[in-house]
Amino acid sequence: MDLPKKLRELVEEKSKSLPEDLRDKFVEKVREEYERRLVEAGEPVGLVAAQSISEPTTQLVLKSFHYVGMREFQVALGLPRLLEITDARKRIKEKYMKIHLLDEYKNNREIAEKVARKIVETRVEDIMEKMEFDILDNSIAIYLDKKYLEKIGLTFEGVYNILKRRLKKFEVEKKGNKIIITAKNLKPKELYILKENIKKIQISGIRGIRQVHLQKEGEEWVIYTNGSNLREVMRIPEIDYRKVFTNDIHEIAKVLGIEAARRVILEEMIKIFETYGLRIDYRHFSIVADVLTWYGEFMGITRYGVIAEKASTLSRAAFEIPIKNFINSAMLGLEDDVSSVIDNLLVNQIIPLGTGVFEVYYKRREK
Amino acid sequence: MVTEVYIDSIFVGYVEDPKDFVNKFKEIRAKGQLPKFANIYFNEEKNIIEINLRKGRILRPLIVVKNGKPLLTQEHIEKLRKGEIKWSDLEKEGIIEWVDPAEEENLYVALYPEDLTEEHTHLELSPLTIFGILTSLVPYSNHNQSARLNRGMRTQKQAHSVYLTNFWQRFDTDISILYYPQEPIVRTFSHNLFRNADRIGQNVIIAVMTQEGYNMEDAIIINRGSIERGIFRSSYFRKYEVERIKYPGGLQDEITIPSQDVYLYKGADKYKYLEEDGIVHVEAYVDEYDVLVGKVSPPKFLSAFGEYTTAGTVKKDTSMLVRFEEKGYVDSVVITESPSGNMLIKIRLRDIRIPEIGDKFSVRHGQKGVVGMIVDESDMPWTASGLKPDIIFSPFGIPARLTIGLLLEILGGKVGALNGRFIDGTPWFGEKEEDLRKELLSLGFMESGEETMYNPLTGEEFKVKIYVGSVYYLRLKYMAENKLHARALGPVTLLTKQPTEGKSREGGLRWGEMENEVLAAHGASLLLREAFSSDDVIVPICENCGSIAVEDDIHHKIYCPVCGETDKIASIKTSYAFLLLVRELISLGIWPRFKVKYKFEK
Repeated sequence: MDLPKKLRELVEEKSKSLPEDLRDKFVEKVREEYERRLVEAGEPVGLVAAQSISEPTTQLVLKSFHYVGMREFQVALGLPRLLEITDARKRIKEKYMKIHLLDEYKNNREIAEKVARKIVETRVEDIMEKMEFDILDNSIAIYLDKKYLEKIGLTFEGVYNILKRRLKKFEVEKKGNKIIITAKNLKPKELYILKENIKKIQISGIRGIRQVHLQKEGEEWVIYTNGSNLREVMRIPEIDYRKVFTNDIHEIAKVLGIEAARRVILEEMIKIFETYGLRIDYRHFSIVADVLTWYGEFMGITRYGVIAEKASTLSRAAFEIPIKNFINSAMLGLEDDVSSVIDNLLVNQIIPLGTGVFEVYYKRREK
Repeated sequence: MVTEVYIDSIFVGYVEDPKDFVNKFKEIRAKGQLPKFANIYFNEEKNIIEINLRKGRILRPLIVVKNGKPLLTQEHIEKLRKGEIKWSDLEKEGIIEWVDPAEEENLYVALYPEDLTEEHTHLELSPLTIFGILTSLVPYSNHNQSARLNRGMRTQKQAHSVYLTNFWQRFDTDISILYYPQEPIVRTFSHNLFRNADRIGQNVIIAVMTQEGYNMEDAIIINRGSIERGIFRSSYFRKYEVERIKYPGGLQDEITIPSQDVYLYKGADKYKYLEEDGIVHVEAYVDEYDVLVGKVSPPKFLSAFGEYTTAGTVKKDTSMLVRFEEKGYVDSVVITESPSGNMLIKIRLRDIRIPEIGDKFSVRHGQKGVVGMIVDESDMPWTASGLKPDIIFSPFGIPARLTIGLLLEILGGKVGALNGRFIDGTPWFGEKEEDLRKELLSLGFMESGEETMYNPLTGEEFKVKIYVGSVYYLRLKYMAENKLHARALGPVTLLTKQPTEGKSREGGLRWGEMENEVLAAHGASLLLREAFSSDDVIVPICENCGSIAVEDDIHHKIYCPVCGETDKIASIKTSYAFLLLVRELISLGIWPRFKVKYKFEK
């Protein structure tokens, strides 16, 4: 077997200082040692990974929340975050993004602020002072907060135009510092629903990003957001799209593909244990990351995720809800070839791992 | 604006001036015209007055303060001391008030007399009133962390002791009586009130040091010489009860030595300690499964089928046996009557318990540990005066737990033992550390309480001085002999054919899920199979249809319930638990079929 490229180069460089007759021997010795350290056939790498990760997990403090540099965000770290990843949860504790600017803008606070203002989602409910509700005229009056509008760089006219465009079915007119929306045919109950919907209308920014914080990291200004929308954020020209980070792995898998998601899973898991000063070989995490992503989408280790994809009925039944699994398999008339570890444990046969991988046959010598 | 008044949460009326009303209420109560446990509480936020009379409130006495001066004077205390007046007189005079948590909200209570100001309404009797009975028994507890105090309090309840002086007349289960109980040298004021707490341990000489690593992780090392002299020796008692039950139809149990033809006869050897009346004789040394009371029950009409098939109805031996892995002397036998009028035999077994490796010990500060090693007296380190400690205590237990009270108790115990007096270790008011140190110095010892010690293995002097002193140790009820258990073969449960669980059922030790993963991770698949083969069965399988074949032992044939008699029957080895699963699936209406392949076929 050949050595990996990096190791080969290192060996070549080191062997130069050796006398010539020893060089081949040296290379041979390194290869021998390397081969001995490789995982052998039948080595239960998954089990070793599970044990290597779960033992340090018992040392993690349960339910501890750390802050990612700012006090407004309560991002799950530690064990809760590990569970979010391995269960592939869609609703995570707090989504956040870390946005770097392009090299030419990154030290400029003004541009960073401008970008931050552009990113943050502003809804009608954020810019209005109050909302009036008139059942007699079937109309809704919105009073806008002009000071706040100025602060975030919007105009009364602009908001009016957006509302007019979004509410084409209804009459939209402006009167002094208020915008009046009249809906003639609506019943009071429907009007109430309309009012709630108008509150949610987006005026500017990127959908899903509710808060933005600027943070100076070294010389660079970095934007942290509360909420996540990877696809839209990457389109902003001032942003270095190669460095955008979000902790929503489902979104990464959707926008950047499953390989990117795998990479993020790996790095996030390493980060969890590093914050506690626990060092675990990355190969263990890479197996977990592979398991979570190898069906082509990000799937958790739950009965709806990876376990549901298992072919063996016994394996699925051993995990959770056995009766349902047995009945479903019986209806389909499924076969189980009893090939995995858990299946063989159930029927108390030799498990196909380690010494159970191979069988030895002795051919009797014929006389 | 009027204030609502409630008595025990029931509305009774209105008051115009609530503060005046409360004051008048208290005045009348002090005069004794209202019950002394009646409490009044003015809730200013809700503007209501609550008067509480009901049971179950926690009340505590406080000294009433008027104009910054407590009503209790030195005069009263002198009179109390002489016995001229009593506590109840103070209550009647309105000097002491009983206050509940609600009333306390309106009060301003001073902890010490020095802190009193004009605004204060009450004075605490003593800061010690925050302790419960057991917590107040811990000396120098004000120097400990509260969590340690909590634990130290709990260990006192688990100590071997003389819990009652008539223990030899009682039949209590799982009781240990300490042979040589001692009063603690370092005491608190509560020891004068609660005399039972004086009999829960022994004063031992301890050295705070490590020795050969046998006291790591909270373990302690005990001197064998001390054990031979009787330190922490105790008796363990267990009670057995047998009732002679009357059955419907005039039948009843018979207390006798069973004859050989009785069903479940246990062999003559097991009945050898029984006297003619079928009850074991006093001071007999019995071992596990020896018979204590021979009892024969009449055949039950609706009992198991097998009992009366072979030779008609047969009586059954239901003798009382000594429990599994227990032994001891028969201490006492009593024949009485049960509440239902049946004859009741109570037997008490006594067993001597000498401290051994694995027994649990503790001090009163929550520093508990098991015996890690029993060292010969010749191998114990000794001080310059030749003193050898009874117990070697690890110093690593102290920095994280911060039980400074223990260190002070060691110091106080040393002074008390040397001077032949008790040391008052009452929290806040006990003897001061500086005084103890000065006294120790005057006795010719180092002020710090440390002493020069010599290594028993080499005879050399230790480079460091060792902290030596006397401390009150407790032996806790958790003993290795009660816990030790192992088995090779033994009973199995009926349903799964797997070994039973628990010591009392002679159970096996569980090879759990995590243990199985360890073997799997090592690739030791054959060992793993063996570890799980406690319920292995050989199952005949029909090769045609794959269903479980029926083994008919009476006609010596195997047949398939579907295909009938056939030659194609394969035997597979699997766990009974899996077979059970398959049968339960069959009962669900699922027909699992096996596809059998011969192992050596290619």
